[in-house]
Amino acid sequence: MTEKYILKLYVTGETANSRTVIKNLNDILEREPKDLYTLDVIDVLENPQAAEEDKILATPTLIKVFPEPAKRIIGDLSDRGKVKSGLGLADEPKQSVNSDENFGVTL
Amino acid sequence: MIQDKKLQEIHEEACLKSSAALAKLIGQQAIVDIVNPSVKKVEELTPTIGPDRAVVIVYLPVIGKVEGAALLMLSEETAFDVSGLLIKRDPGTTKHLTELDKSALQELGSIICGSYVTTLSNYTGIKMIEQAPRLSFDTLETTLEQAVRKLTQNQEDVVALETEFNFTVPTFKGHFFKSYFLVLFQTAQLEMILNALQAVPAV
Repeated sequence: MTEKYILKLYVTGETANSRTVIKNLNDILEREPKDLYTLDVIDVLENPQAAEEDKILATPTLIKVFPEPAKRIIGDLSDRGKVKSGLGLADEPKQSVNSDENFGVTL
Repeated sequence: MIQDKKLQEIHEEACLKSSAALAKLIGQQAIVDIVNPSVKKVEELTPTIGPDRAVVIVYLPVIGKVEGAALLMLSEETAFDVSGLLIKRDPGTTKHLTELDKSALQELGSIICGSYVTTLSNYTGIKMIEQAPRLSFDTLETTLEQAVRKLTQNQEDVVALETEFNFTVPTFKGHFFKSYFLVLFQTAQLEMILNALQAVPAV
């Protein structure tokens, strides 16, 4: 059974900066199965208590809460490879050519 | 572009350093909103405050292998709010800047500008030494003119890393402290910095 990812994205206000990071993350997640993750977008201006509890130093910060180990990625999430590797998500599946004959290697 | 990625990385690290130092200064959590920097000619700058209104400016000259300057600029209202926060007054009660306020703002500017310059110097291996910060109250236009003139006679020979330094503290719910931030270098010296960054391996 695939573990469901629990993600939190901290942003500050409804700024262009916040919109960019949300878009960047959505671009990455839209290629993943919808039931693979839950994403909570938290505005530190609206919910400072959550930011305090999670000891947020900067926004944007993406936290992978589950599966463990927990991981934080700071910045605009524009580096797709870095974000996916940080979250422990596999690279986009490429077309597989008869995997049995290729010993399960994805080409 | 490799320089953009590297600059972004440096900027993120400088923001985290500033956030930690700011938290120490105010004795509570501070959250810095990271706004990516861009490299621009002085005439292409798009200030988020001013340019015709007087602003509070912390100016930090940089000497060493490269010469430059870091400038943190706040509107008068933001300067009141921030100094109130630093001196632990009730929000909205600061209506003018005392010597203590000015000193606190200078300290803040020194932390932010210093974090940036130190991070840039550490990444590139190029020696950059921060001098004592100075606080002034002037229009952005005049301040920029003076800062550029200290570096060179020709404005076209100066480029800036332009960004914002915005932060919030959880105890001031909904309050966003905004400032405009520039690091100025002579064009040839910035090229030297960017070339040094290209040699830094990707993390």
